[in-house]
Amino acid sequence: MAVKIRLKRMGAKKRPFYRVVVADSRMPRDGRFIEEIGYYNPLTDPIEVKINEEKAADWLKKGAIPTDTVKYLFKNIGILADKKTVNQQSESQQSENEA
Amino acid sequence: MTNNETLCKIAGVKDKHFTGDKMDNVTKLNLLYDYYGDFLTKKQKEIFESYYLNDLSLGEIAQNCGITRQGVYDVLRRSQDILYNFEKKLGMVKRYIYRKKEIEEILVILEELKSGLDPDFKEKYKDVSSRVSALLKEGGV
Repeated sequence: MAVKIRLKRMGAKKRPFYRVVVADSRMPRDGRFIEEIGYYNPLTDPIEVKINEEKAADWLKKGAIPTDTVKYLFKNIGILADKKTVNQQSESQQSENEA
Repeated sequence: MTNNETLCKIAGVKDKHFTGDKMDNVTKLNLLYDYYGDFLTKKQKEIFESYYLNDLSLGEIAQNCGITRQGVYDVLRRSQDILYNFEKKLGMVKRYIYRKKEIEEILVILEELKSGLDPDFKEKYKDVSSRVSALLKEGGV
């Protein structure tokens, strides 16, 4: 089934901190995930977002679906989260290779 | 955007939901949940946690709980209303954010004072600064 890229809340009470994880959409209950690709800390100055762009792009290409919040984070740091753009990109890469 | 701006934005809890930045909203609701979460029912908590702590979609939650998407949305909406209502009456999150900001500023000032310190007060300075940082670490300011 679908693989998703989502946020996962860590951190103590009253100090939210999120990991960006890749997880199977059927495995939400026990919080198991496939891989951690970054984190998001809203309480630091400035807000700290770290995402392994290589891994993120890789998972997106494989068809992992980011949630809206993750899409938003990706957009902010300039990773193309749109499936369409990813496809277009890979297509243009292909055509470049062919040319 | 600086931290304090964001926090002020979070602190200025608005009556209308879903205003402003999406991520601010998630953080804000997480903080509200930390304070008033225990006022929700077990079911409400479960759904709220799935949506805001684990970032599941409405559809996924609906599947897990065996109810409709609309049902999940209604529960989330109601839970949010409850949390916002408590914040409106008690204002604990607002106060927490205010105190956190104050303590951070105090620590900066203390750091500035450190260089021109009379040696006689060194012990006292240490005591004060460790106490203030302990307040911040505790998180439950």
